[in-house]
Amino acid sequence: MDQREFNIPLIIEDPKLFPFCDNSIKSSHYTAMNFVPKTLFEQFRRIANFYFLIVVILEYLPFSPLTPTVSLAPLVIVLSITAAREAYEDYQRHKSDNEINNRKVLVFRNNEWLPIAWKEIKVSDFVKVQENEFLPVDLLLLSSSNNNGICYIDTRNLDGETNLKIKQAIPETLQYSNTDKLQDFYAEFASELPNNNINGFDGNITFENQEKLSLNQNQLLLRGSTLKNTKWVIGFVVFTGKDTKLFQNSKEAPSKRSSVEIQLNPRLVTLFFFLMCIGTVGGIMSARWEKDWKKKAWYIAIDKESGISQNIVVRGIVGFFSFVIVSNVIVPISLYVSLEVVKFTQSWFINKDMKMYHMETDTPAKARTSNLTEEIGCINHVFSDKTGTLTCNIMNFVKCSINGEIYGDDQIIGGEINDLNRIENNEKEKNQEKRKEKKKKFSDKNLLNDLHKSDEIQSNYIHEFLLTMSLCHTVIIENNLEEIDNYSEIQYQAASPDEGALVNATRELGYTFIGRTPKTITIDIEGERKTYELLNILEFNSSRKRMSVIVKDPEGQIILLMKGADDTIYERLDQKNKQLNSDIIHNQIESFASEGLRTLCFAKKNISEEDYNEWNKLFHKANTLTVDRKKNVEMVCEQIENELFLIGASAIEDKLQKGVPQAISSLSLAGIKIWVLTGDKRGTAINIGHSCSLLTNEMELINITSDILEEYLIEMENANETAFQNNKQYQPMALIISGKALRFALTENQKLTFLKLAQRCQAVICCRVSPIQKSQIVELVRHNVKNSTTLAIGDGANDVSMIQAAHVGVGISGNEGMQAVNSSDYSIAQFRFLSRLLLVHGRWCYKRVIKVILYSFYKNVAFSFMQILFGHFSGWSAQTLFPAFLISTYNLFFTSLPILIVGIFDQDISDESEEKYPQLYSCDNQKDDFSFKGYWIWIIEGVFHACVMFFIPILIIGTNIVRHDGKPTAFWVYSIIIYTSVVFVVNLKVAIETTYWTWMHHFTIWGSIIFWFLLISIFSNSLKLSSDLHSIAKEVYTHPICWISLLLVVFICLLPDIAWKYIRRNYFPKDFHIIQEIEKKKAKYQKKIKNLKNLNFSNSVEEHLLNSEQEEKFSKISKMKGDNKYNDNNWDISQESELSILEAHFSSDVDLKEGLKKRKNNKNKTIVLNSSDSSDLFEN
Amino acid sequence: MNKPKDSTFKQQRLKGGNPILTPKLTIPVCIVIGIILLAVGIILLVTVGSVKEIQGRYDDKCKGEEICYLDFVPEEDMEAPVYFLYELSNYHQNHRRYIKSVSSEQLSGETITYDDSSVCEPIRSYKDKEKNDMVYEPCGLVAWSVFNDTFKFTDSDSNDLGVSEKEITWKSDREEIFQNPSTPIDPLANTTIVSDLENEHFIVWMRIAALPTFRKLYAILEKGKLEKSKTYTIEIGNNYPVESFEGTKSLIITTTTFTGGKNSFLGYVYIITGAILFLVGILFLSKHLIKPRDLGDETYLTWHH
Repeated sequence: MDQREFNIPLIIEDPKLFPFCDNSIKSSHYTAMNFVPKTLFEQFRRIANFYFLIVVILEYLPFSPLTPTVSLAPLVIVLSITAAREAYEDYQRHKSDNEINNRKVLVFRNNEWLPIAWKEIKVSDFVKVQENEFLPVDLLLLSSSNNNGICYIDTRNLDGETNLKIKQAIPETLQYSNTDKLQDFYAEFASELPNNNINGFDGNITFENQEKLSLNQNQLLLRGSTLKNTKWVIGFVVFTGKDTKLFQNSKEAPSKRSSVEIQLNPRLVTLFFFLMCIGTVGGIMSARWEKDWKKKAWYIAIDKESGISQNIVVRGIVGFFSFVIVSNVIVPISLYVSLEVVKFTQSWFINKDMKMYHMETDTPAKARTSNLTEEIGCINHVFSDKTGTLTCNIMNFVKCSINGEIYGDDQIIGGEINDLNRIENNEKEKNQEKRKEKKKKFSDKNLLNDLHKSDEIQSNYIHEFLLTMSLCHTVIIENNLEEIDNYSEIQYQAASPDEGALVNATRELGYTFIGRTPKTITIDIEGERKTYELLNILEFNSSRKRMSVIVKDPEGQIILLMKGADDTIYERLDQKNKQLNSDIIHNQIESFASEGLRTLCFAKKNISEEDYNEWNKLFHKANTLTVDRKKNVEMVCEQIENELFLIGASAIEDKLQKGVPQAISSLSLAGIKIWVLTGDKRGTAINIGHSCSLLTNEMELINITSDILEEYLIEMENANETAFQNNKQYQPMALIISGKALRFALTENQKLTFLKLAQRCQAVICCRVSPIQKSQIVELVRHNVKNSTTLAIGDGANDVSMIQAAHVGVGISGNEGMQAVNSSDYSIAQFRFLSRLLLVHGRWCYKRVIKVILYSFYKNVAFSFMQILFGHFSGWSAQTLFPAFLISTYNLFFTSLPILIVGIFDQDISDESEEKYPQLYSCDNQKDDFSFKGYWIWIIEGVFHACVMFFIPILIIGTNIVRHDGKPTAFWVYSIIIYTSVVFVVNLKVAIETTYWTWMHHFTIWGSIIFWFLLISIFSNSLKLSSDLHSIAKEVYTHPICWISLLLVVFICLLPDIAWKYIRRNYFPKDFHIIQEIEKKKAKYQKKIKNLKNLNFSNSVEEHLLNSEQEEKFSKISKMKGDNKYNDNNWDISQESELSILEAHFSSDVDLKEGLKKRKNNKNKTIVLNSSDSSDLFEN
Repeated sequence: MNKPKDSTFKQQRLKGGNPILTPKLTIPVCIVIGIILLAVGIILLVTVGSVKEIQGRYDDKCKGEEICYLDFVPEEDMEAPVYFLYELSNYHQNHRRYIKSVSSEQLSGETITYDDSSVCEPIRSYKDKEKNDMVYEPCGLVAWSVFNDTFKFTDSDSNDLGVSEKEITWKSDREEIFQNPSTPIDPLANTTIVSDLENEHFIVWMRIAALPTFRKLYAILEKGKLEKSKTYTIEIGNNYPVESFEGTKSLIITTTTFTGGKNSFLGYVYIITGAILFLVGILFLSKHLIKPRDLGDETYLTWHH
C-alpha cells in the first residue's frame, strides 16, 4: 500500500483494528521498570566498562588474589554517575512528554467542540485551533476565520524560519466552518504515506458524488507550528503522533565520534596487550616457581592447597589470571568519566564565550554536541558555503541589463532587504529605524528616462522587465495595506533575500507590488492599480534553478514570466528566432559576475488560451497525483517553460560579512585548506575569493570549466602539467572548477587525479555546485586524504548534507532558517567566529583532552607495572603490593581531580596569542602529541617511574634495618612508603605538565596529597578498618628514612622530565615555547610600566600623565591584537607609528629599555633606568 | 538577552600564571639542588660510617647440631643500644598464599568458628576424638612456621649479657593487636610451639617481611657496650629447617643511627644524583654563557623565515 486512505468520519467497528498510531509522543528512553537493565546494557557496550565487568567476574573465582569489591566499587561509582545523568535527562523528557500529551485542544466530538487532551486525538477527528495555539497534529485545513480560508502559521519550530507562511483551504471546503455543517461532513480522503518532507504533501479528497479534489502542502498545517494572525482554523487530522512530519524529521543526526576517540581504542587495546604480557609473564613464572619450590618451601605448603589442580598448565593459567587481576588497574576506569566532564566543560566554555557572541542578532556560539571538542583542534580542510556564510545574505539590487543596455552603474537601486524583520516584535521599532537608514531612495534616472522615452522598443523592454520583477515572486506583504499611507511603508516578507531585493527595487522604480490573493496579484504601476490573474506558480527549487508564474494580464493575454540562473534560461530560449542581443547580454552578465554580483535572468513568453488550457490539464493531473508528484510536475513544467524571450538580467550585490578576510587569512596561516563551494557563477565566486583574501595576487589560477568529458580530460592534463612543474614548487595556486566539470571529477576513476590536483592548490573554489555535490566533495576528501579532518560550514538547507558528511559541521545561525544549524555540531552567528572557535577553543581542547588521556594511561601504567616487579620478589604469587582498598581508590581519590582541572583550565598560551599566531594551529603538530610515538613516551615514562618508585625503596630498605630503634620494616610499611611516593610522583607529574596555574590547580594537586595523608591516618588509627594497617602512619612517617627515600624517588622520577623540558625549550624550541616567552615578556613589561608609574608618582603630574598614557597605549595594543582584532582600524597615522614603536619594544630587552628612554627624553625628562632593571626580566 | 556574562571563570581568564623553565630560573635551581643532594649524601655516608655491624651465617656452621656455639669479636666498641637480629634468606614470607593464611580475629583473642577459619587454609583444623573439626589456635601458615631458633648471648666468661627480648615489636602490635584469648588455649588445639600469642618473638614473626631476604629483631642490649677485641659467645638452639629451600640463617649484631643500620646505598644514590644534577647545571650554564638564546625572540618562530 503506497498511500493512506480513510473516510471522514472514520467508521471503525473495532477500536483494536484502528490502523493509525495515536497522538501521544514519547521522547523518553526509559521507564521506571526497564531503567536499570537498559542503562546497564548501554553502559556495558563501552569496551572499558565491559572490561571491568569481566575483571569483577574473574575476581569472584576462588583463586583470585583480590576480592570483587576492589573493582566493583569503582565500577559501581562510575556506572552510577553515568546512570544518574541518564536518569536526570530522562526525567526531564518524561516531564515534557507529559506536559505536551496533556495539552488541550478543541475537538469535534458528539456534535460539539470539546477540549480534549492532545494524546486523545485520532486520525480524521475535526480539530479547531485558536490563534497563537500550537498545532497538535498534522491538520488538513478546511476553513478559517478569514473568508477565503487563508491562515498564517509560524513554522520556526519546524524549520527555524521566522517568516509567517500562508496556508489556504481549497474553496470547496470553506463551507465547513460551523458545527451544523460538520455534522453532515462525509468524504473519502487519500494521501501519501507519512514522510519527512516538510515542504511537500500530496493528497486528494472526494466528497460524495463529486469530483476528486487535489490537496497539497498549502492545505496542510504541520504539528509544531503556531497559528498566527488568524482567529481560528478548522481541519481534520491527517497524521498523528510519530506519523507527523515533525517526528518523521526528528531522526537523530548521525552521531559523530572524534578521531581522538577513535584512536583511543587501539591505544586501549595496546594496554590490554600490555596487560596480557604481564599476565603471561606472571603465569609462566608462577608455574615455574611452584614447580621448583613445591617440595622446597615447606612453609607455604603448596601441595596441600585444596581445590585447584597441581597440573603445571593449570597452575600457569591460574597464575595468568591472577596477574591480570592484580594489574587490572592498568586500564584507567576513570578515563571515560573524566573525558566526559572535560568535554562537557569545554562545550560550556564555548557557549559562554563573549568573543563569539554576536550582538546584532543576540546569538552566542553554541556547541550542540560535546563529543567533538577536540576534533575542532585539528581541522585541516574547511568547506565553506558562500552565500550567507561568507557574505551577509543582505541583498542590494545594484545593476541591471535590459535588452543589452546597462543601468544603475555605481548606484544602488531600491533598498535592502535583510533579516531585521525576523527579529522579535519588541525590537521592531528599533529595527524600523535601522531599515530606514539602510534604504537608499535613489533610482536610476536613465532607466526612468528610457522608460518614458518615445523609443518604444526600449521602453517596452523596461516595462516588461519591471513587470516580471514585480510579478514573478512569492513575496508576501506583512502589514495591512489599509493602515498605511505610503507604499514605502510596505513591509515585504520574502523567502529568499534576492526576491526581496528585487521587489523592493521595483517599488522604488514605480512598479509597486501591493498585494496578492491566491488567484491574483495586484501591482501599482506608477499610480495605476493593475490586477493580474494568477494562473500558476511553477515553483523554485535548487535543481530547477528557476521559477515562473503564469498570469493573465488585464487585457486577457496569458503570459509566462520567468526568472532564474542564466544557464537554465539560456537553455530554454527560443532557438528558432535567436535574439541578436542575447550574446551581448550574456557578456554583460559575465562582467556583472566578475564584479562579484549575483545575477538573475528574466524571460517571458506569451501563451495562447488553447495551449494554456491543454497544458493546465496536464499540470492539474500531475498535481493531484499522490505518488511521484514532484517528478511529474517538473516534467510538465518543462513542457511550457521553453521558447522563451529574453528580457534582461539583474545584478544583486551581497556584501561580505565583517571580518571574513581576516578569518580566512588566519585559517590559511593555520595550515587549513579552504574550499569554497558555491552555487554562484564562476566570476562571482572568483571575485568573492579575491575580496575575502582566499585568492591572492601571487596565486596562479587553474580553471577547469569544460562540460564535455574529453575536454575535461585535456584540461586536467594541462592543469596537472602546470601544477606539478618542477620549477613551480613554491608557486601558490588556486583551483577553480565548475559544477559541470565536477561531475566528471567526482567519478570513480577521475576523482583521485582531481584530488591530487586540489591538494596541490592552496585554495579551491567550486562554483555552480548542487547540494549533493557539496557532500560528495566533502566525502571525497574525507575518505581519500590521509589524516584529513574536515569541517563544513554553511547556513542553508542545501548545506545540510555537507555538514553531516564532514567530521565537524558548523552552522551559521543566519538568515536562511535553522536547518543547517539543527544538523550541525557547532553553531556560530558569523563566519569570523570560526577562527576563534578553531584557533582558540579547538586548540586548547585538543591539547587538554590529549593530556587527560595520556596522563591517565601513564598513571595507571606506573601503578600497575610495579605489580609485576613485585612478582619477582614474592615468588610470582600475585601478591598485591598494596592493600586492596588502596588499589580501588587509586583512580578515584588520589589521582583524578588534578588532571580533571588541567583538562578544564590548561592554557599553554593565551587566547590572544593563539589568535595572533594562527600558525600555532597546525594539525600535524597537534597530532604529534597523540601519535603512537607520543603515546609510547608516556607509557615508557610510566614504566620508568614504576621502576624508580619500586626499586629505590627496595634497595634502601631491602634487608636492612632502617629505624634507629632497630625494629624491622614489615611488608605493609614498605607498601605504604611506595604508595606515598606514587601519590607524590603522580600528582607532581600533573604539576609539571600544568602550563597555567590557577588556585584550583593548587587546591587539587596539594589537596590530593593532603587527602592521602588524611585517609591513611584515619586507617592507621582504627583497628576495625584494617588490622594490617593499624598504626601504620606512625610507623612509617615518624622515621626519617621514609622522607629521605621519598625525596630521592621524587627527584629521580621528575628531574629527567624537567631537564628534558628545559633542553627542549632552550635548545630545540617549538613555536609555542617562543610565544610563551613573548607573553611573559609582555607581562613583565606591563608590570614594569606600572612600577615606574608608582615610582615616579611624586615626581610631577606630567610624568604621571606620561606613564598612564603609555599604559593606555599598551592596553590599546593588546586590545587591537586581541579583542578588537576585527574592528575597523580607524587609527590615525600618529597612533599607528606610536604603536609600532611600542610593538618594537617587545622584540628585545635592549629595545625595550631604549624605547622607554626615548619616550622619556622626548619629554625632556629623565628617569634613571637601572640597567639591571630591565635585563632581568626573567628573574623569578 | 543571551549575552554571556563577563566572568573570569566563563571567559577562561582565571587569575593564573605559567612558570617557564628559563635558564635564569633553571640553572641556579639545578646547581643548588645538586649541591644540597651532594651534601645530604655525604652526611648520610658519614653517619652510616659510624655504624658498627657484625654479621655471620650460622646455618652451615651449625649443620646437624641442635645446639651450637658461635664466637664473635667486635673490632670496635659497640655502645648500647646494640641490636641482635636474625636474617633468613630465600624465604618467601611475602608469598600470597602464605600472607593470607592467618586469622587476625584469632590473633586478637577472639575464638573463631570452624567456618571463619577458612582463611587459614591449608593449616586450619584437626579432628578431635569425636571426629569434630576443631580449629587450631593459632591457625594458618604464618603462625605454624614461626622461627624457633633460640639465641643466648654470653661474654667470654660465660656471663649472660643481659639482653632484653622485650619491646622488640611495634607498641601497637603488642598492646592492641595481639591478645591471648580469655580462655587459655587448649593444649590439644595447639600443636605448634606457640602457646602465647603475646610472645614478642611470635609477634615479630607475624609482621610479614617484604622481601625474600629479611632480618628480624631478636634482642636488644640496652645498657653497657660490647668491648672491642673481646670474645663473645652465642649459644644457638638450631631448630629451624632451611636446607630444603636453600635458605641461609645469619645473625647480625649492629648499632644504629637515625637512618637505621649499615646501609651506604642511600648515601651513594644521593651523591650520584646530586653530582649528575650539579654537572647538568654546569653544562646548562656553560651553554647559556657561550651561546645564549634570546628568550621570546620572534625570529625563532618557524614561520618567520
